[in-house]
Amino acid sequence: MSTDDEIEQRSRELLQAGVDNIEGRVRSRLTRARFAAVEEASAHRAGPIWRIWVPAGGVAAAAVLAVMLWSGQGREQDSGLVEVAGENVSPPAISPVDDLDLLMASESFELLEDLEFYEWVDGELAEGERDMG
Amino acid sequence: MVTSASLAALDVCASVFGVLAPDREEASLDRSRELERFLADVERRAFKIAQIAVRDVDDALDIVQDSMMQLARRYGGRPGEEWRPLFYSILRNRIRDCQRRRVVRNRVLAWLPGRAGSDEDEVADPLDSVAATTLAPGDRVQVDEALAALERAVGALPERQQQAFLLRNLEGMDVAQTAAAMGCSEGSVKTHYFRALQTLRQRLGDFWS
Repeated sequence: MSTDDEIEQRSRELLQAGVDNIEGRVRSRLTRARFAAVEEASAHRAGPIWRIWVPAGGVAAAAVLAVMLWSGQGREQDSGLVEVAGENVSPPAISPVDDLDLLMASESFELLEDLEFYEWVDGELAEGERDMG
Repeated sequence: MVTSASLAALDVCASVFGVLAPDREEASLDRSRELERFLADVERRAFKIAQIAVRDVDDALDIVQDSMMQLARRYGGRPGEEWRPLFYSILRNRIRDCQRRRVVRNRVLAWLPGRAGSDEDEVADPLDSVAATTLAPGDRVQVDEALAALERAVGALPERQQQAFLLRNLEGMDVAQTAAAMGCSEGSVKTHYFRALQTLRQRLGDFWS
């Protein structure tokens, strides 16, 4: 009966012989797999880091926009009366949230596209009021 | 005039667009070489371990290939000395996944008529069996028989004993490294290894003496 040491020694030699005699097809596939893995690691390391910065950039842009709207609102309120149609009136109180609504709403872009039309309508209405008065 | 600020800006731009500075490119190349050396060192033994566990050449190749890719993708940036236990831990999980898939597949196929033995229709390419080294025919037969008996005996060991035996005996890991790769304590490794040796001695002792 073999001892544990003999079993260890013999099995180590045999397993190593099995490793040394691996078929050519298997060795070839292992080499291809190794190259693919190294390639993958290189690509992973050299990958552009802009993907990491996109979410952070989005948050930063949103924060800057919010600060701009907020401070812009403060300046408008400080400016006091605004001249509208020859009369000094105080501007309506507009919260920053309203500004955001304006920026986010799709119809405001349509209004900007037809600005001349709305100016014409405004002029027509003012002329009508003068005629009636 | 090139200031340090403009150099830093260039470095940031290069990073953003995926272009590495020369020194970083050199470091990346060194890492690639280190990873390739490591994989070249372990790949055949890893294949043998997988082959003994799943008893199929193609499945064993797939397991090793997946393990290499997983190591490169997830742990390629880790220090080189951590790769060995990580790699064998991944290999162990892949072997287990393969064995589970096989159990499920066999259960399903058992319900289908006329499926038994369908894999035996494939004709093997004789060139595939060409070995790397050439032994004398008599020696080769003896080694092949002894190796086949050993692989059968090791393959029949319980999973944890098999892992402990192959990692210690074939891969040459010490107890601590084996414990890290197996995800268990060093005491468990010693117990599994001792039991594996006992079983192999009972099964192969007379055959080898």
